[in-house]
Amino acid sequence: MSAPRLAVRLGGLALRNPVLTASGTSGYGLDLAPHFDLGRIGGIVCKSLSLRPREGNAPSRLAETPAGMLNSIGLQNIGIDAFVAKTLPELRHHDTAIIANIFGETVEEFGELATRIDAAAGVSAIELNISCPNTARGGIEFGVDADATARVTMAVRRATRLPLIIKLSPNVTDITVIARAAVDAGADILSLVNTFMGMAIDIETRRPVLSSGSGGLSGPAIRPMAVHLVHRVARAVSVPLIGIGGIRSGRDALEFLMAGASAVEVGTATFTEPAAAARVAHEIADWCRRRGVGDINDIVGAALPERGRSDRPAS
Amino acid sequence: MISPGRGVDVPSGRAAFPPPGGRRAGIAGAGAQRKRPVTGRRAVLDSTGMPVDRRLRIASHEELGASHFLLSLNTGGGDSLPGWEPGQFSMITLGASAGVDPLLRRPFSIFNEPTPGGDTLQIFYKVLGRGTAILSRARPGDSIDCLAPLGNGFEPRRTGGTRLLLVAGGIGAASLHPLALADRRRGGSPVVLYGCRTDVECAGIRPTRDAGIEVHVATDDGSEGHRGFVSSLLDDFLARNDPAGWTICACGPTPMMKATAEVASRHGVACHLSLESPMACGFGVCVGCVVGVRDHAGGPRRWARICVEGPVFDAARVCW
Repeated sequence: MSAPRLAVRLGGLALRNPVLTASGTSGYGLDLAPHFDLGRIGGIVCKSLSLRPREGNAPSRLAETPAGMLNSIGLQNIGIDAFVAKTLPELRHHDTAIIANIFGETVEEFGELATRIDAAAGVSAIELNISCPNTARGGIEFGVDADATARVTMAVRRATRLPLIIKLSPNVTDITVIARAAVDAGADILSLVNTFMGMAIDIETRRPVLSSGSGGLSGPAIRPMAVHLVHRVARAVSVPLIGIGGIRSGRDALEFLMAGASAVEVGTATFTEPAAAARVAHEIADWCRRRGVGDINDIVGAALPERGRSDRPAS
Repeated sequence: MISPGRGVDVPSGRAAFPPPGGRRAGIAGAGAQRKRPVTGRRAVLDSTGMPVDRRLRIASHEELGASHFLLSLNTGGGDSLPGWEPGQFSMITLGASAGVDPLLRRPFSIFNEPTPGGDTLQIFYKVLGRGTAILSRARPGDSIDCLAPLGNGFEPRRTGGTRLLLVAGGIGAASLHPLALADRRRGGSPVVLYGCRTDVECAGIRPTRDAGIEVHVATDDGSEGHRGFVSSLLDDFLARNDPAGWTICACGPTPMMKATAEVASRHGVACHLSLESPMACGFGVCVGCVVGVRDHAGGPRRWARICVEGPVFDAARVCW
């Protein structure tokens, strides 16, 4: 059969295929360019940008755990000005969507960051990091509170016409409450999930492995929990979703798409294989070809209860 | 669980994603894309390559005593690997379920010297934890994904005297071994000071010794050579020799590196350290393997990624 159609449209965000890199796992995209043509994936989600450069947390910042890892980087980044002046012009040479992930310590900072991204040409969408578990101020403070989520979303909404993605934290009692608050405040797209808070302890020193104590858990270990949360949020809101959490193969990505996500972000897998995102995109296409799926959009939400039996393959 | 992309889910393996533009070409081809700032006198090869992620085959895997293993990886098809410099490293997968458990690749310095058109990359390691224990069970014929060469080696940033004094703590000797060989090939007479706990652990320096490099040993218990830490052996050495002619390159555990930097500073000898740290990616994107450095004396401390700015740093820049 002919090549399956992989292009997806999430509101105003059009992607060549449904595979993005996850923020904080691919730098600003340029570090991946030696390993694969960035045009093979839907887009790059840049590492979180703050108004001023941030130095991040003291080491140790990493701990490997069963089928996963904890990190506490603390949003070390070059700052919005260096990104716009130096990184963005270089990144624009690549034929892929650029999504700027932004992080502010206050509502005003989020608004200011969005204004600056909006003024810079070449960015396809803005993703708000309101779910970083590793900073003293901002980050998850916003993402675990529905009112704060709404305030940040509204501030950014006023500052930009770019498609607005809110990245949700799983570290909440009911993720659908936060999801609805973000959508009601003007979010175009929700991405989920950020890392789960976790801790590892060195039993010889009797201290946490990470210098900050706790960190964010990512990797295959969190995938079933992330799929479940996407499946829940898909039934609670009507905006497009981006699924994130432990994806390292086409079949992993397809689980998220069937749970209701229109696209996915590949994160930790890039650490262990620089071209992981491109391979995931390739494997999705391959699966569609083998299963006779002509358009990837046909399987989005296939595992949701309201989808009829007619969507499923006869067997 | 079968690991995707490791030969099963993608029938053609990595071949589905050939890196663009001859990146897998030999040394000359890779050099056309990026030349490292190597002076002619010190160049190991004309140039080194960009990092390439490729599946290699275990050609041989032997234990050399006291849990030290020499792993030889080969391209299999006869095609060549990009060049590298002493002190550069690789990130390799561990076993069939790599990517799930253990999740991460592990960094290892490259043990052998590159040869033009060469197809073999060697790793010399000691079983120290779970990852290396899993690796030690890999057998000839098994596949290992290897991202290399990574980081900056010793050569481009060397300052100081022309004679090389290499200070190794335990398996840190693995990153200094190719530097010793390269230096001697260019007419140098490198001296290695090797520290370990007890005599059986001298297995870690045997390949260097067998290659005919001058080696002096310090053991914590005095069972071989100097009794005490290698940093005190270094102190003695610099007291007996004119420090002016030497440059120190060191690799080992952090306390030993710290002590080496202190001794070097006291004797006024340039000192370059190959640092290690837990790493998730090895190519700069995880920002997990940082060390505090100052770009100039008295300047502000910043967190530098060991994988891309190092692993070799001027000891004077490191904030301990």
